Amino acid sequence: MKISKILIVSKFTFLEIYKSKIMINIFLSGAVLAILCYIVSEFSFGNPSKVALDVGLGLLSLTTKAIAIFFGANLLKKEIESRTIYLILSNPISRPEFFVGKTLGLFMILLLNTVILGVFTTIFYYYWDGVWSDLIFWSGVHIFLESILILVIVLFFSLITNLNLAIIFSISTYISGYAIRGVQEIGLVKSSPILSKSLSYISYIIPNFSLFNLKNEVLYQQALPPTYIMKSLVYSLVYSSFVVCGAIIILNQKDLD
Amino acid sequence: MIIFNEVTKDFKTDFWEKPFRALDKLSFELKQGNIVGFLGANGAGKTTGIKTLLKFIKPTSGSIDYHQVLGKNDREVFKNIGYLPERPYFYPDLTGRELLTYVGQINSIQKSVIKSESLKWSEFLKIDFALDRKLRFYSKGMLQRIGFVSALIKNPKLLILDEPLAGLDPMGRKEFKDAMNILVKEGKTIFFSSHILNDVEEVSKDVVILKTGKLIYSGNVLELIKNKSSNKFDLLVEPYNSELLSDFESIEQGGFKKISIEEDQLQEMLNRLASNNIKIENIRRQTPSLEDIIYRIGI
Repeated sequence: MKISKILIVSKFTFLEIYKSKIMINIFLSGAVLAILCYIVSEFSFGNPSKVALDVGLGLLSLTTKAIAIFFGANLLKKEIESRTIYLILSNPISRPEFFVGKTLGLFMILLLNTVILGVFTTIFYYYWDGVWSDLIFWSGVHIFLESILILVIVLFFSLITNLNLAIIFSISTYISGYAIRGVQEIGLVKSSPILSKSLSYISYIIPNFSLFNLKNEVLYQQALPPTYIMKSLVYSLVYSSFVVCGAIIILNQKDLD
Repeated sequence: MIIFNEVTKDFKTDFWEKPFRALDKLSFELKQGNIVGFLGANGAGKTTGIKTLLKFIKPTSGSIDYHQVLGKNDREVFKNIGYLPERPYFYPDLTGRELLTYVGQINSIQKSVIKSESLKWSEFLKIDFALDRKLRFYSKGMLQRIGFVSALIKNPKLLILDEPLAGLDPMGRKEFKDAMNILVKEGKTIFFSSHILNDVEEVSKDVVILKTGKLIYSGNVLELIKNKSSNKFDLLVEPYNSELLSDFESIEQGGFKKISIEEDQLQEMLNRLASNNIKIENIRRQTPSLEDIIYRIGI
């Protein structure tokens, strides 16, 4: 794979999405965030900075997920259906380079969204006399990592099924990934060796999204174990790489008709 | 330059249904330096053939050989192939110039060359005025033109054009045909599918004709026309007393009478016309157009 080709595709993918007025939506989300923070802080007693942080991180998480799911589902599907993929693949570029380039382009949009809304959140947090903690930054990073994982899962599903099913499967995977660790802790599951073992096998396949939720740690200023950040970074990198490899194998075999 | 070796492509429509055969042991050769027309009715397999050639789809059996002049590996081959898809759809939020830059950069073309080639071809194809406009605001013909420019900026050795003349106005068709003639004089090979048979006959030296995925003909257009020509002659003569040539049927045409006769009757007819002092306006062998032949073959 040639990095230069990947970067060209990612640059123009970013440009195409950027010019599709997504920036308006991001800044609109920022405005909604400001209004929400103001309203909620008026009704909250005592700690408006915590409310601003809670609402800010919540909105940031929601928008990155929405972009990852809806833009991700369309990213390759639209290329194949509208046949723009022919224009690019009839040039000296391989399918894996094209796939990684497109994915990287959307990564950059997700990063831009995370940075802009993260800055908005921090401003409002400071406005209501919040005190800086590194956990705020790491929480933003984890939201971004989570959105990357969702994005590659959506892209994978978009290559094997239609648009609507790809979205449904991705949301289901997200919910299951969040819930499975909690379900494993239920007494009923623990008491049944078969159920417990089955769920532990499934938990290796379904991504562990609860790993990326640092909201409680941020809001209640709980300390993270020293290896936690490294663990989640490596986990998201390894899991995403596996999914990307799977998607590339499928794309390589696929008839683009 | 390209050789199709018994290429077959089956598509599975449903899990339990029999696959549908789009290409059936298709074999032909594209020779270098020619304009080759790719003909066939809707669903004959033209677009499937082109997609297989460009490796968008894999053949069920058979193979396609790419001559070394195009390159030794896929990357080199695709650097030397320019492609214009049928009804091109491009990134709607990019401008024409951005699209050309994108294609140019993928082909590792220097910025200055991208700029000069874009300008040269967009001026020739009269799309230079819209280069800074978003592609979503381009008409169908404009998309066709910018698509053609994007296929040309890498200076390919082989151009594959899928229905390039569809959706163009008469002036646009002329500009495309002029460009094709210029390119073939530069030594490029052009392989293009079209339904507009007069245009194919006008610009192509060779044709490949498909019918339901099977090859009907591959070779020279003039030879095809010659082979399918009849031995009949049309004589256009001045009006005469019908009793003089009552054994020959004639029809009125533009103030003259047109008589159609077999080649072996020609001499006798000429003698009779001379002896009756009937002036001959025109004698012509009946030559069918490519369109007539296509209708006759029934594709």
